Amino acid sequence: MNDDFEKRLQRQPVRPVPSAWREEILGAARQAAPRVHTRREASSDWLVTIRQVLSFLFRPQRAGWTGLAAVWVVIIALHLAARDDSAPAPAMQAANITSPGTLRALRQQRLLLTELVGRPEDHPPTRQHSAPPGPRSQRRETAVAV
Amino acid sequence: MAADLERLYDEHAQALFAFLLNFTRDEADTRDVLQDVFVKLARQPERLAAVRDERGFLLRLAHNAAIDLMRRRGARDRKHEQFGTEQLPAFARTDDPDEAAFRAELSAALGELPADQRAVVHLKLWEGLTFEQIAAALEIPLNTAASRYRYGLDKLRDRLRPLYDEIK
Repeated sequence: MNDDFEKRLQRQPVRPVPSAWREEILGAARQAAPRVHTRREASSDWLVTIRQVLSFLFRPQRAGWTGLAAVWVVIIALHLAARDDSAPAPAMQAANITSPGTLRALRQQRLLLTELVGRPEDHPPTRQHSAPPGPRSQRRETAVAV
Repeated sequence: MAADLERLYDEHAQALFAFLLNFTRDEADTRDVLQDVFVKLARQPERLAAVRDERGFLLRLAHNAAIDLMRRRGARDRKHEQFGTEQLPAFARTDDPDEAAFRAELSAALGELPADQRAVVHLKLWEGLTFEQIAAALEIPLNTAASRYRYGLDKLRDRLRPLYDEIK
C-alpha cells in the first residue's frame, strides 16, 4: 500500500504558479539589480566621458600642442636672454652718475640754481603749522573774541 | 543578468512556488518569499556562480527566506502552524469529483502536518529529491530528513486511508 499510496500522491499535480507573477517578480528583481548596476554604470560613464574629452583635446591635436609648447619654449628663452642683456644697465647708469664729469656738471648746475633762487635757508617756509587744538572751552572763547 | 533571471524563473519558479505554497500555506507569503528570492539573486548574481545544483540551491534559499519571513512576523509566526489547517488549494483543479475530493483532503492533511515534515514530504513526493538532496536543501541531517518523511507520510496515510480505499 505504501508504494501505491506514494505513487498516488506523486501523481497529484501541484498548482501552477500564477502567470501574472512572472512580470511582477522579475520586474521587482530588475528594479533591485539596477540600483547597484546603474551606480557602477554612472561612475564608469562619467570616467569614460572625461577620458573622451581628454583624448579629444590632446590626441588628435598632438602636433598643435607640440607647436604651442615649442612656441612657449622660444618665448621663455627670449625672455631669459633679454633679462641677461638688460641686467648690466643699472650698473652702467650708476657708473655714469658717479663719473667725475657728471659730478662736475651736477655741481655746476647746483651752483647756478643757488645763484638764481638763493639758498634754502634764506627762504623760511611760508606755511604756518597750526597749533594743536586746545580744549573745546578755550576754542569757544577765541571764537567769541574774534 | 536579466536574461539569466528570466531563465531561472522559467526553470525553477514553478517548483519554488509549489514548495513555498505547501510550506507557508499562504499565497501572499509564497509570493513575497518568491520575490525575495529573485531580488536576492538580482542583487547578488555571484551567489549562483559556484552552484552546481541550481534547483537545490534555490530551494534552500526559498526555505531560508520563508523561515526568515515567519520569524520577522513574530505574531504571525505563532499562527504559522494554523496556516496549515486552512483549506488552501495546493493542487491543480480537476473536473473529476473523486480526484477533486482527494486533492482537497490531501491539501487539508498536508496542512495538518508540522511545517518541517511538510517540507520534507513535499520535496520527496513532488520534487522527487533524494534524502541527501533534501537534507542539503533544508540544511538538516540525512537521518532527520528520512525520519520526517516517514512520520509525515504515515500521518497522511492515516488521514487519507478511508478516502483512498474508497476511490482506489
